[in-house]
Amino acid sequence: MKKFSSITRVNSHRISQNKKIKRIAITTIVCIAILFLIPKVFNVLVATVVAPVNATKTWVKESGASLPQYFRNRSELVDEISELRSRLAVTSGDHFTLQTLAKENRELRSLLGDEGDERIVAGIIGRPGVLPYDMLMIDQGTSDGIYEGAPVYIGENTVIGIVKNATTFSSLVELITTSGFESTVYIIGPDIYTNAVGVGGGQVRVGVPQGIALSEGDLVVLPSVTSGVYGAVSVVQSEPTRPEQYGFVSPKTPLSSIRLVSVGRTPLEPVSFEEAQAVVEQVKTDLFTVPVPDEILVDTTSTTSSSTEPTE
Amino acid sequence: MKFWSTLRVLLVLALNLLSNMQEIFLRVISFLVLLILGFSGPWFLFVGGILLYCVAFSGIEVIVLAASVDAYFGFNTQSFYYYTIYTALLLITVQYARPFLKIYDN
Repeated sequence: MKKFSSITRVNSHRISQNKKIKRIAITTIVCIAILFLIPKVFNVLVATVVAPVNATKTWVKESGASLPQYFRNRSELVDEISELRSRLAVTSGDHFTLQTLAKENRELRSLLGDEGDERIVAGIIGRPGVLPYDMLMIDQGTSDGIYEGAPVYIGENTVIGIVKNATTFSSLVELITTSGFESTVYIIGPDIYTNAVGVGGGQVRVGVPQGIALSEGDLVVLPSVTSGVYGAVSVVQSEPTRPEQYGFVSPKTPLSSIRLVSVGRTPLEPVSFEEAQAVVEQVKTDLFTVPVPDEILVDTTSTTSSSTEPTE
Repeated sequence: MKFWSTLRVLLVLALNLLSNMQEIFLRVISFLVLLILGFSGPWFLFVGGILLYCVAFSGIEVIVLAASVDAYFGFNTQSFYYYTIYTALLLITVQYARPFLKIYDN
């Protein structure tokens, strides 16, 4: 009798277990089907539910009100204060303050694209390593004029990603370094065009054949997004037994140290090879040439002209 | 005598309800914490939270939460169902492992 009862209990337990597994499978299939069939509807629904969470997050991270400021990392603020104090003590004057303000002004102007198209400044409220996906979360959304596909810049003209999803008060930026993101790059040094693939964690990987002299510190340009120098090769992974070698590229400014980005108002347009080449040439010119006054510059053309002067 | 027995039954029912309520309350709070972690917390805490939640409650609602995270963060990307699939697999594993874990309860 006891044996029968225990067998019955085991069977009923197995049946309920199977039922639960079936329910899990059905829920998963339904969720994935919704994700595939109506992703936008699901996304909008979730964005609406999450809006208060994001609003609170923005308030805590960005607001100048006293309460969120109190909640922010105190030690970081104390360090900043002591650093600023020591700087002030060293410079001891208004000169430094003026310089700092001018620098900040220049930074903000370049962020807003004072010489090019109009941009929107946005604060970063989520970074890779914290968010579940390798993305950047910014505190500006569709209500501020941000739309999907808009380029995101750091500094004056370095594109770091594209807005993938914009909600009312926040947006998600897919980074060039997001795993699987492919882009065309030009490496100054070996002077070659190649494809780069994002590997996550703020790194882009370029793969080239073994014969090419790829070395650490080689500058990398992203001509497809008409930017300046994107970054430099930080590590070269080369094994003689393999036909290819890999270089890992990090951006000029580490993602962890960026506080503000700017978002373009005009979408990126496809770039032809000729245009890309012109961008590369421009970057190379900007990098390696300095505007030297004619009276100081000693060049073959100036030497020739001066040597030919008496004969004329 | 009847009054006392009725009171006793009511008391037992109330205690049962309270204990169930405690579990429900704990579950709701845990789910809310998981929700906040999913959308604004570090991803490793979220993953750890999912693991604990699956072992403690093995609730199906966690799949919907994972799907929501996928829909929000992974929208327009190639791999926007990873969290859903991993959570489902975890739940199924927990379901299979539950009888073996219950041996220790006995």
